[in-house]
Amino acid sequence: MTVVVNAILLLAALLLTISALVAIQRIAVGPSQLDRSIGSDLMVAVVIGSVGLWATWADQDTEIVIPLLLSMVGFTGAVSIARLVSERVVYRPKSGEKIRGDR
Amino acid sequence: MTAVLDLVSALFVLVGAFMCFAAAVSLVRYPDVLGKLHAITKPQSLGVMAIAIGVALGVRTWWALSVAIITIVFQLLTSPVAANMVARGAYRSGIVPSRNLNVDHLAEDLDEADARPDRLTPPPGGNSEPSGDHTR
Repeated sequence: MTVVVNAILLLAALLLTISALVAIQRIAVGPSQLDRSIGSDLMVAVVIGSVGLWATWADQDTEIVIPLLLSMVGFTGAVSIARLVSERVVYRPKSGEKIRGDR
Repeated sequence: MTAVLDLVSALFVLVGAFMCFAAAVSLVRYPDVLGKLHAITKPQSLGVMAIAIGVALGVRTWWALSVAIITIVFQLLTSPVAANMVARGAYRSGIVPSRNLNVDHLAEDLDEADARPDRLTPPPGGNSEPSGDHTR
């Protein structure tokens, strides 16, 4: 591993760390539950990226089962939260009607 | 040759990490859930694919190549499902302010479906239905 490759991987690790922190902040702040589910979806993608980064840096392929399984089932978190947390009343705005989110 | 492939794989991993960073930026900058979904789904899928290609090029084994291909296929299959479900839930919960939407075709379509006489839908004018009915 040359210095250039190490520097590029270090920059990628920094970007992934910042993305993870922003996702956690959105999970904490997010004004609705769906914002939090989106933040957790991004967290899953960051974990996929981190394990892929580790496999590239350490030149080992034993851990890449983790991105494989996360990409298969990592979407079920967001889907189940969206399915269960959306309001049970079927409510939709008519054309031109202001809805609850308007100020 | 191996040094060139190492450099190319590192660049792919950097592109993938930058796509995840773009998705994180969208979480901060977009005002509502539907806007955040733009970058949570599209660049994020591309980022996972780029990282998978980077891993396959960096760890040059057949196992890594097959795992990368399967990862890409499943990411392309599952990401639209999550986006559709979250967007549907967000719209039907009413948490999307209508001033953020330029055009709202779904409201027009639902009004048109309401106006059509049909035994299964309640007459227009009713806003709420029994809680078991999500199938529309």
